[in-house]
Amino acid sequence: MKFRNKVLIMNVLLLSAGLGLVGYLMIRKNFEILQRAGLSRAVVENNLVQSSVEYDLLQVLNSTGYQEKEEQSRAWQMRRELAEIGGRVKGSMMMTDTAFYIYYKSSYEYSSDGGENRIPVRLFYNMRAGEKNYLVCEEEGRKVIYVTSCSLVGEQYLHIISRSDISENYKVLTEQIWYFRLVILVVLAAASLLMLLVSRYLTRPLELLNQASSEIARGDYSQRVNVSSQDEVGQLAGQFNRMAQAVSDHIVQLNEMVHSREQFVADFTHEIKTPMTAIIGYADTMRSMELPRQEQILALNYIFSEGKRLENLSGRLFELLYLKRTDIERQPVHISDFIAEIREITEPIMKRGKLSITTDVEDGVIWVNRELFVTVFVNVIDNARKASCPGGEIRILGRRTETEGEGAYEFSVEDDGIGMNEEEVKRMWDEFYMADKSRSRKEGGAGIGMSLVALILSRHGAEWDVESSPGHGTKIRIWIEGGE
Amino acid sequence: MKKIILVSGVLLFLVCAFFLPGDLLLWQSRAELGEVSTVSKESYQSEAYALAREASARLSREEKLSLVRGEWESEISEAEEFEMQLQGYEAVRMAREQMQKMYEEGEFPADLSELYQNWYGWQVTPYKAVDATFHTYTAYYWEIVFERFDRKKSYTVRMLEDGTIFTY
Repeated sequence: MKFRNKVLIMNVLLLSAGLGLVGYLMIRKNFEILQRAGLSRAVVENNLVQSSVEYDLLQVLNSTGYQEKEEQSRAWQMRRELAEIGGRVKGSMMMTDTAFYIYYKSSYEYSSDGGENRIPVRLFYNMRAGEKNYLVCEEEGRKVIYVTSCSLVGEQYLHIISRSDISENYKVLTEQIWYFRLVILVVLAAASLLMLLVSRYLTRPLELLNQASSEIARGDYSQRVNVSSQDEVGQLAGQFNRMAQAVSDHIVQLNEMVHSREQFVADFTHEIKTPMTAIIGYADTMRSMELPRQEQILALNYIFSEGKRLENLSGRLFELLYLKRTDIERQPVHISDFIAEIREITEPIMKRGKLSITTDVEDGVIWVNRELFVTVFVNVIDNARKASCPGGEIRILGRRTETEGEGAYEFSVEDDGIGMNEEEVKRMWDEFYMADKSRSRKEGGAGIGMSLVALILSRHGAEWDVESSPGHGTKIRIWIEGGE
Repeated sequence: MKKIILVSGVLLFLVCAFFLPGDLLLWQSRAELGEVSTVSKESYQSEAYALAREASARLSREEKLSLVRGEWESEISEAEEFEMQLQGYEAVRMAREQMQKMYEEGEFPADLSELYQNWYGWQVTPYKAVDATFHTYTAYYWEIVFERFDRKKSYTVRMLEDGTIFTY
């Protein structure tokens, strides 16, 4: 079941329960008030009748004739007088719908409407003089209230009973109940419709989130949720969008990594295949025919040089794998000594290319793995050499600087060679990438050097960047912590 | 199946909310029928003297005198000042005026006027005579004792609240 339907059902249930309870309490209270008013009116009417009867009776009781009579005669006179008093009181009363009865000495002496047989006897049980009892009951489909007073006259109880019709109260109760039912029906219908709309509106962002999640689950990582509210749902949508972006970025990275691996395998295969083809070709030629000595030597030289290239390739790949899996040990390296060593190492190849190398470095100490950093500079300088024309110059600069407020050392290797375009700069760190393949291969390169450089620098926590444009040379800058 | 149970439950709840309060009210109103209850005295009796006053308003002068004189069975006792309609000094003034007229007509032996040197002081007490049957109907009256300053003469006068001078 959808969340919004659950919300709707819960609201409707709570509302109906609340309305039912409130309606019950209100109607009940109203009915109680009506009943109290009815009882109060009935008691007032009984008081009036009682007062009138007792007043007349007072005169009889104190008359000389009555007092002088025998007990038996008194009782007879009392009964006769009560009947007469009842008639007189009824004649003088303004209440037309109220009946009253006079009960004395276990019998009714007067009844204003002849309905004394309907009066429940329990109305008089355990009454004491001065008390009043009441009873609500149903008679011929009408609700009536009996009120009785109790007085002691000549050691006999005298009850003045009045009967009032309170059917109107019950009619009002029934009408209120049906009106309440009508109201609850209308309110529930209207509220349900309203709550349906509100729940749809409130759960709309959740619906969008759900849809977007489904789309992402199906592989569409570009899905985002457009929810502008600032509430918890809005915050959730924001977090969802950020999560989706992170997943998307990660997927892109994974794709790039997979692509990079595939490219690596393809490049590796290609790099292996080229020398292997040459080696196999020359070897096949030599075993298939008798070659002159000079051509044999030429063929063997090819086989040797291509074999060396394969050896070089496997060595570099091993270094790459080794570096990725092992920790590096650092030691303090004096920059001036280090650069001097670099110059010494690269001097022969510089001379062969008729290139000059100049250095301008500020002295200092950096904590690096010396051997690996030699590899970094040899590769960078060798790359610069390959890109430079005979007579060119390669400059090595170094100075102390700061990165993010901390001491650092900046190296810079510049050449005036052929330079690279933006795409080449971006890909120069990839394994087996060679901007100028024919030239690199001719120089014995395998496209691993700059990947190795990038790996070594990243393992040292160094940063680097490349500035290059075709025909204007290349400048590689490296920043590493320390240098003090 | 689960859905059917849920929908049925919800519908049942709504039907209950629709019918139950009304049915409960009707049931309660029917259940209360036939119960005998005692009317609380507060709802039909105000203070006792107020009730007596209300009922006694019907009594004529003769009936009140019958109660006071015991011609009708009654119980006489001292009344509280607050039960009386007049203040004591007002009752004395009213009685004095009537006694003065009676004196002038020769029906009373003493001149109770305050202007004369045979000045009479007074003492007043309120009384009530309540009917012995219903203990409701009551006649209120004053008993005033006029006494000359030298204490050689004194007269006791009884007067209903309407100013009727009477004797037993």
